Amino acid sequence: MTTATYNSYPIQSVASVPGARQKLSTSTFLLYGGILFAGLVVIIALIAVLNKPTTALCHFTCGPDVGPRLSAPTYYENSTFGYKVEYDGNYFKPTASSSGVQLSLTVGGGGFIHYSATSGSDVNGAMQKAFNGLNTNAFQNISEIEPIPGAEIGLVEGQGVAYSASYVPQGGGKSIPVSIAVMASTFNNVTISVVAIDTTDLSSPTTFPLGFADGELLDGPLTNTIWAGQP
Amino acid sequence: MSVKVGVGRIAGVALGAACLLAMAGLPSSASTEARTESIPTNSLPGLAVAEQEGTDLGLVPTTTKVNFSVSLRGRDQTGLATLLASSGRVTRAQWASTYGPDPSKVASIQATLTHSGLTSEWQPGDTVLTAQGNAGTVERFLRVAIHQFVFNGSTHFYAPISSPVIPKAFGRTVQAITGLNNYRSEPIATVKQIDAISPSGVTPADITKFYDLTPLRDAGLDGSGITVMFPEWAMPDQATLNAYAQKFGLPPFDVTVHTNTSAWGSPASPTGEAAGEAALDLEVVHGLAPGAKEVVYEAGDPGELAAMLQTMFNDNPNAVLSSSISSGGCELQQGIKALVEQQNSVFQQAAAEGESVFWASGDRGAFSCLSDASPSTANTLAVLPGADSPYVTAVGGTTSFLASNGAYYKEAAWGEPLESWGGGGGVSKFFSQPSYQVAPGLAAGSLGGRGMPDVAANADTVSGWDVFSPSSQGPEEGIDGGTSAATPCWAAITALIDEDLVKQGLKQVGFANPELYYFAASPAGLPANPFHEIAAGSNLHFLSTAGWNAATGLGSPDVAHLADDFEWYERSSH
Repeated sequence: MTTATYNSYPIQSVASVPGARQKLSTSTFLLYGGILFAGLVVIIALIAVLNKPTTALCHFTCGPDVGPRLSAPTYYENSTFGYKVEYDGNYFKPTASSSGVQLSLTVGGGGFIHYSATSGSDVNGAMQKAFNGLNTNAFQNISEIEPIPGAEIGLVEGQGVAYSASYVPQGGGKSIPVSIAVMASTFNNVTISVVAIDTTDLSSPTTFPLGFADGELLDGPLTNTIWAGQP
Repeated sequence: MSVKVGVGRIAGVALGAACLLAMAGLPSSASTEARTESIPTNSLPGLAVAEQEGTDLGLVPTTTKVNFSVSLRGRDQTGLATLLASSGRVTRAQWASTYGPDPSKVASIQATLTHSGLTSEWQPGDTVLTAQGNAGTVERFLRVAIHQFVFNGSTHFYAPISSPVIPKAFGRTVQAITGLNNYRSEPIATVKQIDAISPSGVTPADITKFYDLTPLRDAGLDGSGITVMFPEWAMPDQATLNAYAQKFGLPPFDVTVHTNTSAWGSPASPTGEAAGEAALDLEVVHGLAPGAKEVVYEAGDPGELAAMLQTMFNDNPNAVLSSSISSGGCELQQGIKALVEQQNSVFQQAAAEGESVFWASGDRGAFSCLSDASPSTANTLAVLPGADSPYVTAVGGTTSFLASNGAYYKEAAWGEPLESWGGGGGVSKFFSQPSYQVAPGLAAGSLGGRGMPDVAANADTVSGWDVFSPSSQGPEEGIDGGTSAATPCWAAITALIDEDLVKQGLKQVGFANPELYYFAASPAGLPANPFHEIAAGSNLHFLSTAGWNAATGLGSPDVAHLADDFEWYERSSH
């Protein structure tokens, strides 16, 4: 699998961010996201056709047979490794890639969570690979906060590290603080890694110890990940 | 539970507002000779910082009314322990005559207070005596200076700036003194809420099916005749409750609210986060047991919570208490021990008198100090005060996975790594492992302390509850979760079982823990396994595994089975 790059974090300058939590508007997200993704449009479009996220009508869930109730249940299924990520279509917009899927928040601060998978059970290697995928031009001053307590993907215990960083918009503008989580878990000889990036909550005292202003929403897909062969 | 983060504290600040007394060797004379407190502490989370960072305006006016609570030691603790271990119960009169504080010694204490110009209230059997007087009188009596402060420009409060000095006349009967301030720390409540684009949380009907309440409801049980009571920091909003009842086709709420601002402080307005907590508590119980009488007691001063709890139990015998609040964020908070032990004495009495107490275990997983916003303890394993008492049933959190037909499929321990939320759990540093706490995989004395939670229920907002919350724009429908939702869920379930037992001429559930752990051991003749074993996920540290664990305890309930088990237990020779 190719190494993902995470240079698409949608951002606007601090000066124009309303509110204390520096949340981004959907329109700004789309603007900057569109610019940063411009070079990848054709490739992503092709991949999206081949690996299209599925939307279906169902009661509590679509992908797995069971699951928590979502207001707009939708799921992504990875045909190579068989894992599924159920998410709420009211909150996330998917972008499939050759290595997995990126679910970008359409509400809140514009954060996202990116999934990749590989064969084997090398959790540390998967985390390193995911971390190396960070675009260091876009994400600068990356500093480890701490290992993530309770790191897990799809209820499978794993490892994770939280980082702080400054996001520097590649199209210009002031940098803003972001929080980054890199996590990986392994099950049935498949290792899934995720990279979650979100605007840092700067309120004090914060209710978000790792800084993720929209951690509540980003945690949802992590819980609703179903591994191939998982009971 | 969105545990609201309080003001942080600074280690090493020592201001005397709560006192643990070193009792060994104290004479029991009626002398008013004084002695200096040996363990100066803060009584409330955030108070030390508020005093240190706030502006000291000098002595409080001498005519200001000041409250404090006196914790009283009971009698025959060995006999009481034996009684509780065997699920025995006593009447209030029996408690007062056998296990409660010695009335003659309390009379001496009250005489001393009266002689000094202070008023006090105490009922035979109570383990908390409340006292009040003018600041000047209190200052002279306890030899303490009480100053007024302003913090953050708007928070006005009074608090002592030194350790109180305890009269010898109080003798061995007095365990601790709390209060002496009216600082209102940020309420530790347990509501977690996300803005729902389209509300999709679980409904009363969903949970009724998921946890197998259906056989009880089909039998006509709705909690009628049973009282569920709630300590809250804020007034419930009637319009919000009405909206909930209307949405789910429930009868109107039957809620009685008690306040005593001079003794317990002033509750918050019915539109803030604490009011959301009150709404969630009342709605969850009403949704599952709509016939139950709901009684709310309002506190504004966490330091007087024990006194209010004492009143709640006195006023409502055989009731079920559901609490999603706490006086503090974690056991490691400076000075919290005095409050915890004071509350524990009240819970002990409630257990002996047959009252059920369900207490939220917190929403920061194994790291309850995260709610204290204290960097020094944030990543230290710690549990939530209140829930740590061995005389309450601590309720942890799960993520629920409903089958496509709404029936039970599976649950996992509630843990959200990115946001650091999860069901509270771990081992108490204050209380030893109770004798009843034995279960498959859990040997007597193996924990090194009281393990919690005891049980769990749906808490993750991913599978959260469809409820209404108050706001300045009116009732808002959304998704709430946390152990704040799991705890009233268990209280409602107990109300249904209580009604069932009463109708059959059997005694109510009462203090549930001894029976719950007994059932978990699958004794011969037990009609059915009452627990859904939860063997997935973690609470950010402890994995949920087979048997008891510090993430989900014994598991979540199959209510029909649990009702059968209690009936079997009551009818058998136990």
